[in-house]
Amino acid sequence: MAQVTRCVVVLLLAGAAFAGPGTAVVRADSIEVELVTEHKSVQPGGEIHAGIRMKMDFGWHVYWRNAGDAGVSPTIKWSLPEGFVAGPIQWPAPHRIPIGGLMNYGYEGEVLLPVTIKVPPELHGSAVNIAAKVDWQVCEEICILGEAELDLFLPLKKAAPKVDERWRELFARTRKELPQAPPAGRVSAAARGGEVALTWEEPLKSGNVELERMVFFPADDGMIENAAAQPVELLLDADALRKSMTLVLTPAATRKQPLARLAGVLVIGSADARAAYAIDVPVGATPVREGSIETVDAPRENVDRPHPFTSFGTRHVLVLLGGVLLGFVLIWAMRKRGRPAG
Amino acid sequence: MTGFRRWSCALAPLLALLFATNGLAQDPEAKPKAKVKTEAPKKEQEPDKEKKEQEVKNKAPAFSLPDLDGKKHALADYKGKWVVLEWINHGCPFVIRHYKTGNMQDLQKKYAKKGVIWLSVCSSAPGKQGYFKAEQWKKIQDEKGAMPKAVLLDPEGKVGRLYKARTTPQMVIINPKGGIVYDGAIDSKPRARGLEQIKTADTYVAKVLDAVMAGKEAPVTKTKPYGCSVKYASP
Repeated sequence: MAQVTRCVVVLLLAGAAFAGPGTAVVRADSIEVELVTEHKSVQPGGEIHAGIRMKMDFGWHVYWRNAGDAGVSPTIKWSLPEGFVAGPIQWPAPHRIPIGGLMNYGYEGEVLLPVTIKVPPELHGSAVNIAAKVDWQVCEEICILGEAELDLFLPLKKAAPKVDERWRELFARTRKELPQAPPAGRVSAAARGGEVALTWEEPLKSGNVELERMVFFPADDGMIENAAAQPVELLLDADALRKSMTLVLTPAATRKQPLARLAGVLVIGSADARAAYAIDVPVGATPVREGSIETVDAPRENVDRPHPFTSFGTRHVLVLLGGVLLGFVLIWAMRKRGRPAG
Repeated sequence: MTGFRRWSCALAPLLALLFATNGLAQDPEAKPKAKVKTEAPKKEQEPDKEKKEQEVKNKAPAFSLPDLDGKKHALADYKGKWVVLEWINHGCPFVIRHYKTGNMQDLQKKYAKKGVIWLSVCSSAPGKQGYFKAEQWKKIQDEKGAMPKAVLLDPEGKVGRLYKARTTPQMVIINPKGGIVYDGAIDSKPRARGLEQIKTADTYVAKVLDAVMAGKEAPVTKTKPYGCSVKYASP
């Protein structure tokens, strides 16, 4: 009897495993990859805000659509029901990831690659299955190639879909990182000797000349020297008010012709508060600018690599340790004092 | 009194340590300070100099590196021959793919027969992935049936940086006069898995060599190389 029960239990478990609601998440070497949707159901004629969530182990990264000096960007191949159309990956603004003198563009920690899927107005059935085949390269010092087939079921409902609370924050955070069109007339580029100066006009109303960090990510290979520092120059007027900020870029040494256009993503601000702009501007002649220039030699990594300890800094840990040690010494000393001399 | 002295003796270095670490562990988000410097506009480069640099750009930089037996190979030694430089790291999944499927060895064999000098160059720094001592290298090359003319060791990364090698694999093809005719990826499919998919790719190395060795122009001179980053020493 026990034998039969055991058999039945095993069969039931196996059945449960196969009849699961789709494999939306996969744990692979150094990375977790998951297919997610912002809402819990699908409305005919609406949109699915889907995305591939990638969570890298500490110290590992995946690549932006332009990986930089080396690396292969992730790709998504969708398998969708008839009439569903998936758009392109909406790449959040990347970070500079230097390795051994080379420079890569990518993401550390966790990243969501959003994709909008258009839903046809005529739908049948009670649920739809959306599937994605994801291909990636995840690197630390060394690299690992990976792929996964993910899918999930979404119930079909006429009512407006409700937000999946698990992913609300992730989608909201990611939207802030998607490059926007810059305000008209704010961005321009000019050739300057062998370099290209990318200027952001933003006059400061107060006399405060605090530097905003700036970094430029080229859309393609062979545009700029990826690993070169991108120093920022502030142009000040007679009252020492900031008129504009200029990022100095080094064109790729292998270029045969000078850069005629600068296309890519310009990020202004630091790790916690970045604004990303999608830019595509012609490289004009050197403009004449009135004012004095302050130069800041930004460090090689120039900006916003998200600090691995976001809330708990290395600094905090060291101070804490110091305090603990001090505590022990105090206790030891007090005990010593308590004992009779000797 | 002695108690107090013991106390302060233990305390003082600890306090010093606290202050030191507090000072050392800089806030990574600290804004950089602006320095005042008035800039003179940069001079335009003289046109003659630019033209000369243009010609020099295609010239393969001179190098001299030791092989697994310690014998030096210089680019000048191969003047009059077609030379292929293959940046290599046997730990990189992309290099593994091309060797496991036999694709790289086949290319090495095929073009050796045609008199091409195929040199595998390893610019991995000591301690980094892909770096091996000569004896280990010989074993690995043997195991994989690799057939380059030589494996050249560039642990300081000097030649890698000279050629701007960024990935493994990365291929550079040099003509008998010492000019670079191709620099970039081995083929057009970074995501090919298995020999069947590799065979459907445009093998740039083969296409270029076949064309240039027959006196025709290279169908492509530069592509974005794919692979793992070359494991140079951390700066």
